[in-house]
Amino acid sequence: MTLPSDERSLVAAARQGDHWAFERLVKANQARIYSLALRMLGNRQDAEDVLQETFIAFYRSLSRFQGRSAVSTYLYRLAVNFCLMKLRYRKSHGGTQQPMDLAAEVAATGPSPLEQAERSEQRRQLDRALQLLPAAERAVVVLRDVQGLSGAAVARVLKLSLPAMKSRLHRGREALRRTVAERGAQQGGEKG
Amino acid sequence: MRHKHTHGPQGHCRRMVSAFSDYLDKDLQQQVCRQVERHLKDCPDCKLYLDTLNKTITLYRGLGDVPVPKDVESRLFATIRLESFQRRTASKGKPKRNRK
Repeated sequence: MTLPSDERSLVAAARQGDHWAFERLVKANQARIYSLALRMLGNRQDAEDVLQETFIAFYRSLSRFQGRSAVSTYLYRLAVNFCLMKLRYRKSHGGTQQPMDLAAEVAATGPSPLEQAERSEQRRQLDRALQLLPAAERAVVVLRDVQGLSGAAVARVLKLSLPAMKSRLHRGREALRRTVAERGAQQGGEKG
Repeated sequence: MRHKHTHGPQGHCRRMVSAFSDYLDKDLQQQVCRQVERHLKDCPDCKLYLDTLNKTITLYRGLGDVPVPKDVESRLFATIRLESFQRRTASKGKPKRNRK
């Protein structure tokens, strides 16, 4: 895969020190990187750290970036690595995860208050279920099902073979399916 | 034949279930795809399993991106500007090579 022409010219300009071009690249990609980090890490502070680390690393590597993959793919790879590093650090230092209130962030933009509340609760449950997955499976599910990358792109970002990616995706989806089904059964029981 | 998943999918059902993720991604060979579809007609438990898997994937696909809060964005751009400034300053401070 090669870069689309507008991305290629922005990267070329940014490499020459055009700050505006780099900011365009940041603006075009910041939400997907922030979302990925939030869903991988489960809290806003860590997600902000990863957002900054990712774009600074991209800025520093502009001269080496050859455009063999899309900018977003390259950024996803950087961001996933920073997330995994943070999770390893957390694990080795016995850190506990902060409760995530991702839903409250999303609710800032949306339709009616009632609809927002229902959606927020559903989002909260879905995000909690994600946090229960092992990091390797979470990364695959977030990239494939939340961020909407193709299977091949996910395998490239994570440097996995396609069968290995599919196997993690299957395990991750199955665990989420179980949580969603159990939650649905519980809610059915509460209503009935 | 009607199968019952009393203790989770077993045997043949288990093999079918392992193909569901690829089935929903339309990433199965035609022959395997037909096997799955034949099995689904006979096994309501697997059909239910597939439906909940499909619903789960749909829910996650609908989550979408979280907008970057304004304060987070401001700090991001400030960090980038600082990095850019430090680079420019460092490159200006470098001693120039004597050219022969």
